[in-house]
Amino acid sequence: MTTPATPQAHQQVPEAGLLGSYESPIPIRPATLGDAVASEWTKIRSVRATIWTLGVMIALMLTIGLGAALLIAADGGSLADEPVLGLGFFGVLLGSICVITLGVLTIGSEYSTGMIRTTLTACPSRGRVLMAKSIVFSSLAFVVTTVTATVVAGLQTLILDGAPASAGDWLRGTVGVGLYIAALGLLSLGIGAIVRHSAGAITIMIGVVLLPLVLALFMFADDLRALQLFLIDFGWPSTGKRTRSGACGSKAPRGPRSGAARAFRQRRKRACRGVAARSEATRQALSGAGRSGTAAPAWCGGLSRSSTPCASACGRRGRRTRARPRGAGPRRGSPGRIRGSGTACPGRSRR
Amino acid sequence: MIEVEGLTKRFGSKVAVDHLSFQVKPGIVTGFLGPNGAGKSTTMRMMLDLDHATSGTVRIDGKHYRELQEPLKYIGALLDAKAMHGGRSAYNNLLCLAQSNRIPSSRVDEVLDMVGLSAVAKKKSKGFSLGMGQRLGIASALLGDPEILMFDEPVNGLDPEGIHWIRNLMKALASEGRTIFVSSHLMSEMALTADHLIVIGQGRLLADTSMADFIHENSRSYARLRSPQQERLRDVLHQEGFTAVETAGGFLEIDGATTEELGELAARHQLVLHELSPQRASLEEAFMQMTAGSVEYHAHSDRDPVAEPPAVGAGWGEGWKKPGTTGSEGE
Repeated sequence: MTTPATPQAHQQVPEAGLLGSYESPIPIRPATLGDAVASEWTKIRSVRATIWTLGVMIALMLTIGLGAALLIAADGGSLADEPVLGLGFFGVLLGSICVITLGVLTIGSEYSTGMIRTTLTACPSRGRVLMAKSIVFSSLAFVVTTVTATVVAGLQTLILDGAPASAGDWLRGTVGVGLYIAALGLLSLGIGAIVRHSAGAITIMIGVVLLPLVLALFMFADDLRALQLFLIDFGWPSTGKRTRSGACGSKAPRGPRSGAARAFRQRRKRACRGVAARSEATRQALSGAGRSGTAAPAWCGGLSRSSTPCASACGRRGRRTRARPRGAGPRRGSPGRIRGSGTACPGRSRR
Repeated sequence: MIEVEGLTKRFGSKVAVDHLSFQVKPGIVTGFLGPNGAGKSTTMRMMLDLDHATSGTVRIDGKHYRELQEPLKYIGALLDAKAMHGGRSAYNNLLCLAQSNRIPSSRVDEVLDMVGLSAVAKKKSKGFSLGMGQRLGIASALLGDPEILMFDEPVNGLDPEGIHWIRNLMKALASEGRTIFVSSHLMSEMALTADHLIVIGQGRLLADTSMADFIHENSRSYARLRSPQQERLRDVLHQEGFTAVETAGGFLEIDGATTEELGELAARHQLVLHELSPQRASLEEAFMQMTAGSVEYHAHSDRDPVAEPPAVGAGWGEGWKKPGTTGSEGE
């Protein structure tokens, strides 16, 4: 059955590499990581998902950041002794969902379309492909986020009067945000590469980012208070230095304090007094949880994660928490005290 | 030049490719033939290092695929026409491939022109028809102007014009001295394009032969006779030592006899013949006979005896059939 190979073919024992009789006129130059990066840049800029997700992220950051500033301006006009930069972060939390989506899609769409086979045929080094993707995507996410955060912060500073922000605050509020989002995007890309399924990876990532916050919203039992605070601490992107975390009713921050942290602490105290006035036992639990400021998740890329959910966040949270005592029966958070908290919040002070 | 040595791939307990060894030589079109599920695509994926071989090696010009710095300049492959991002334009799909291999972007326009997709270069590949997708896949294979080209079932789903185009393209590329390796499950298609054949079934090498030899060895030639004096004809043939097989429609088929001797025989006995014709069993039949024992998924039908593989000891069919069911029943 088997025919002996032609003698000519037998002479061509693989030795030097080029054996075929065809020589391409295209010169062969060794491809490098740079070429892979150029390729990935073409890929990421030539799909609509990039435009859409980043566009939505920019829109969210701008509208929410500026909206918050304008609302406060319409309400009172001033944040008194509070820095303005923290307001930009409401948009970042939602914007991070866009980055997660894009990060996962950057690799996930390759698997879902089958493009990955073509990609790996063209570049058999898996490491180079992943590295190029990471470089391109994280740079893009970083630049877009940093620029948007800077614009938002600049506009907010123009709209509102607040405590003067230090250079460090500005750095954290712009480059820091960019780094945080880029790191989050990289993690998404990594999960996407592991799961190889866009929807699954997006779900996992959104779970990782949002689930702690959502869970925390429903943890009303005093016993779970410590966990609730930890989860909020984990889930909330913020600029503050390593202050103690906490949402409403938390105790005084620890560690080095920025002006922002101080201001937030005061604000928080005022805003959430009513809601979070808990038993002494709970407070102790809180201070235990307060150390969670050190428990920065490994994936946040060395950024300090601590809280500065600013005043309105507290106000919001206060309002949400308030619904509980009403529905759940007459407990410590009596309506009267809650109303007291409401008056301290900027959004409610003129009611 | 592609050398495959002892290539084996297991998926769990199933052996998809079983110690496959062959060479693909330059300057000719090598057909890679096998029924569905024979392991053709798996072999090709392992050649491109998309699947990890359980054991064995594949060398492209003496190197492993992963050692190729800019593989597109050595080997171009069309595995799956739709292995492109549908939301990206044809041009950009090719551009990102070109960039990763340092191929100048002007080459993208060249190959698009070559496959006739220049007009839709800026259109999203999602909206492409099967034929256009296939052309785009071929464009990506040609991008690096490689000396080795690998096509996995390139004519699948193409219209006659497209099939004709691919056939001629492959021949033209081979005549330039390139190595062409093309898989198919259609023997008739291979007969028209390939110079050399590698046939596999259930992951094992069944044949590694030149096309001419394959045709010579595998095509049964016989003569077909039809006569109103059928009974007398049979007697005469029997006396002369020919074995006649009567087939449907009143034909007699005689193996190993030329029409000349049969015609003269009939004349000598003054027999009236309504038909006397030389017949060759198609290559398709030869291929099916060769791979019958290794067909993985086949239909069972009463009407089409050709589709019914001959019983092969411990062949594929035995394992899953429930005891008591007859072979001709469909599942």
